[in-house]
Amino acid sequence: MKISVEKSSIFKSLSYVQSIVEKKNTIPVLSNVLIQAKDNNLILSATDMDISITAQLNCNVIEEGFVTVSAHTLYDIIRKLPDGNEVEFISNDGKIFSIRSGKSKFSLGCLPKEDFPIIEVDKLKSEISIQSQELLKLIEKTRFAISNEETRYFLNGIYFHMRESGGNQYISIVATDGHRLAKIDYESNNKPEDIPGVIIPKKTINELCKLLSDYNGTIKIDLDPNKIIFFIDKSVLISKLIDGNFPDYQRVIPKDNKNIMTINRNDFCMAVDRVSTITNEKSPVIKFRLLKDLMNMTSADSENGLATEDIITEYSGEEIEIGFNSKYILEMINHLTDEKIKLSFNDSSSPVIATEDSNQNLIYVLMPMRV
Amino acid sequence: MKQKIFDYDIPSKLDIENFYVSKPNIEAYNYVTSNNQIIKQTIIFGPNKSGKTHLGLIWKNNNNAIIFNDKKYEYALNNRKNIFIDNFFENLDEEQLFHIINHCANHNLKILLTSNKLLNDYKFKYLDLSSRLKSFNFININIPNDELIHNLLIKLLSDKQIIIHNSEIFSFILKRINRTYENIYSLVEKIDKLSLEKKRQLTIPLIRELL
Amino acid sequence: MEIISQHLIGYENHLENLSNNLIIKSSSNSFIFYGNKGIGKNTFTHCLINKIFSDKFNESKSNLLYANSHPNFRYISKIIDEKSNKLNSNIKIDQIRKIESFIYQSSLNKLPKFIIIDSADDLNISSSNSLLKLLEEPKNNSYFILIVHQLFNIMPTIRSRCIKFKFSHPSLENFDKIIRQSFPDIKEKDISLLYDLSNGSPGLAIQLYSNNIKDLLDNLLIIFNEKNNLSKEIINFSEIVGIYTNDQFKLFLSILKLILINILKVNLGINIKKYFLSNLSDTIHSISKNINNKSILTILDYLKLNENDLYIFNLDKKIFSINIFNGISK
Repeated sequence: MKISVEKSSIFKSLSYVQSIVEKKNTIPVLSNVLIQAKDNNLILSATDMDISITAQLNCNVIEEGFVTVSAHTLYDIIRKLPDGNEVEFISNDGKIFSIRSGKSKFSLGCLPKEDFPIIEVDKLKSEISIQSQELLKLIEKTRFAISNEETRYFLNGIYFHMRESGGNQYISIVATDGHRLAKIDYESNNKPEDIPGVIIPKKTINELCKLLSDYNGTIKIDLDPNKIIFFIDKSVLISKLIDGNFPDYQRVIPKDNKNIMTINRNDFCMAVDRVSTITNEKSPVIKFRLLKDLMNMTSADSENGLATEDIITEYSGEEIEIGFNSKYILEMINHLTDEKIKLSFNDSSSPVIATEDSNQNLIYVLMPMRV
Repeated sequence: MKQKIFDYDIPSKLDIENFYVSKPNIEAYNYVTSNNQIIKQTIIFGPNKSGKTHLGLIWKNNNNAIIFNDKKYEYALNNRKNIFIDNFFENLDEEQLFHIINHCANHNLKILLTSNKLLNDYKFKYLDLSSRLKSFNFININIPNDELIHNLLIKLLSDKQIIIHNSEIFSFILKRINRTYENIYSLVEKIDKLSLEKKRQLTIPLIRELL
Repeated sequence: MEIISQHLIGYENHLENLSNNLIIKSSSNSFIFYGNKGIGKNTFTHCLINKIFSDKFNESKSNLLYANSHPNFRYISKIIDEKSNKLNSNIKIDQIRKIESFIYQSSLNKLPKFIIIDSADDLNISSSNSLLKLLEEPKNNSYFILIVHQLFNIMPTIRSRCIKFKFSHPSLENFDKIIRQSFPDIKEKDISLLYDLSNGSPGLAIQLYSNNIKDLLDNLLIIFNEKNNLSKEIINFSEIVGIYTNDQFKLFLSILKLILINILKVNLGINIKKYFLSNLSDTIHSISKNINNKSILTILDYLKLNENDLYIFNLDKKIFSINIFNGISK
């Protein structure tokens, strides 16, 4: 193999693929990236056996060929080369891989390309097209609610599915950790029965976001109950799915929260932040007292510390006293963007719903703390 | 102060693959899976949460039966289908049951009843019904042994899709739990809630808080 | 990494049987393949999975399977600790936990998932418990194969959950073939010696031969014939074995024990000739004149008491070896 390519273009592609490679790997070939030179293209692939990413870029192919080399070492070498430099890859026998650029020269040992697992892109049952930035937004609004706790593996991802509501079809994305839930809908032409509901693992979501944020255009998603493939520009991400049943989340979204409060998001955010200063891991709670057009917030710690603040609201519902984990409240309002947001309550032991006008398809649900 | 949690209400798996057989319930299990054509009328007795409904559903699927409730009374009488009545003492209409039993007998249909109460513990108004029921085949589900407790814990936790990293918790629970089906069931409910509330793995310290 | 032969010799019946029945008819997802160390259980298991993949699922990537990089396959054995750079003494719980994500995620293709534990003797209590949990909660389409050298090393609760298959050591003919695969030029005489020393285990025999067992044996003979305590020969010899790895040292001790026990038999008037193919029995006869049973029992006693500590506390192998041979009172 012999190719030459511009540094910044290979660096970008390499950064996508190397990030899924685990640094320490008991199976050496899995620390490697597979490099294929073919038809004036360079194809880079890496996998951790759960996810596989392939990136393609144009380059000047002098001699076609394959090679596998350590992903992290190659990435570090390319990263340290000056921008704008031409980089040359040469490998004669697939055992030694040379990188030349300017006055630098590196040689890396290779592993047999036959040992490298290539995850195939096969034809899957369902197909969806969506704008990359749209999908990114859907994910960014929900992923904070994914559970990090591994006891319930079915919550360690986002639930991606189609549903019908009021005659319209939506792609719905849901994440929940048992304490809170984030759900966003996106109108789509696909029929719900054509698209299976799947749980996409958190690690896949992280890699997907990196790819999406660098691309502006339509992407294609192929999926079946076992596998999801994202075609993003010239990259392909293939991932396993979580083999579990996502809970029936609709039942935990309250339908009749009649006490609605409108509040300035920014003021609220800062006030919660101030009052939460004396909360801690052990007692993260802030108590909210909802009065007419006014809300009082208090928090206390075990050493007699106390914080309290009043904030103006638009509220004419029942008087309610309710406690929430300050971290959850903050995270929730930080993911909203409007100047004014709506919080709706039922009573002191039922979940609150947070919404905003500019984003009618977004809903956050948060369980209170028992005070 | 406790974080409240969503009640996901994840349904239990009630198919035949998810029934754990052990000595206390093997007789009942053998009956519902046997396709026995000779014994047409059976009552399965067993404590609460001992798996009667689960067994009944397995039987119902094997025998193409209908689940009876008072709304289905007319339907049951007008159709020649095997009948399963779960927990039959609940909302018992003695007259209706009497007719249902006769209907089954007349048309050579099978009928399966389940109950957590013994016949003698109930004061029947219709003595005819009482004597009919006494002629039924009786199967008892006994109190759980160690093996069954262990298997039930695994089943109930895996129904909830909970991963357990370490099976030592089972021997810990086995030594301390009150050995009834209801207790096993409610312990799993509590474990589920507490671990979700605290976002903690299922460990011996966590379970110690509950036992 | 250990290179696994893709060429299976022997066990044809097991292979035919298991490849046809393991997935389709089996009521259990977990299996134990047990038999002495080095008789080819791992080679067999790789071959079996390869056969199932290719016969039943038209999967042709056997190279991935043998490189342990097949997406539907996980091979768990003791790994090298990153900090100490030494081989761990057992399979750690983290290694078992990593299987969880393999099991709880979907499969990228239609193939079943296989997990090999080689060997399950290396599981400690916590990793055993963790594995037990996985075995107890069977997942569709995932199969565990536990390679076991000594059944009694395995927790009874794990044993009872698995279907067990016994592997006996290969015939001399197959043993010969397997050894010649690795050492084509080996002499007939050496093969029979290896067969005796390894108790018919080709894996062990290959290990012995690669570790120059013949030199070791010659040196041992010199020591046994040496009259003085703490002689130069003993110190030289201990120098050599002192730098052995734990596994090599275990091998050496097992040979030593084999010889000692047979000397014991000779001294008690038992005819050992029939147990040996090679002329090892003659050699043992000749040494036996120099060593009395009391000193053999002293050595065996010493080994029984201290061998475990040697590995656990990483004691000095040279001193250990000197201590052994000082037990021989001439």
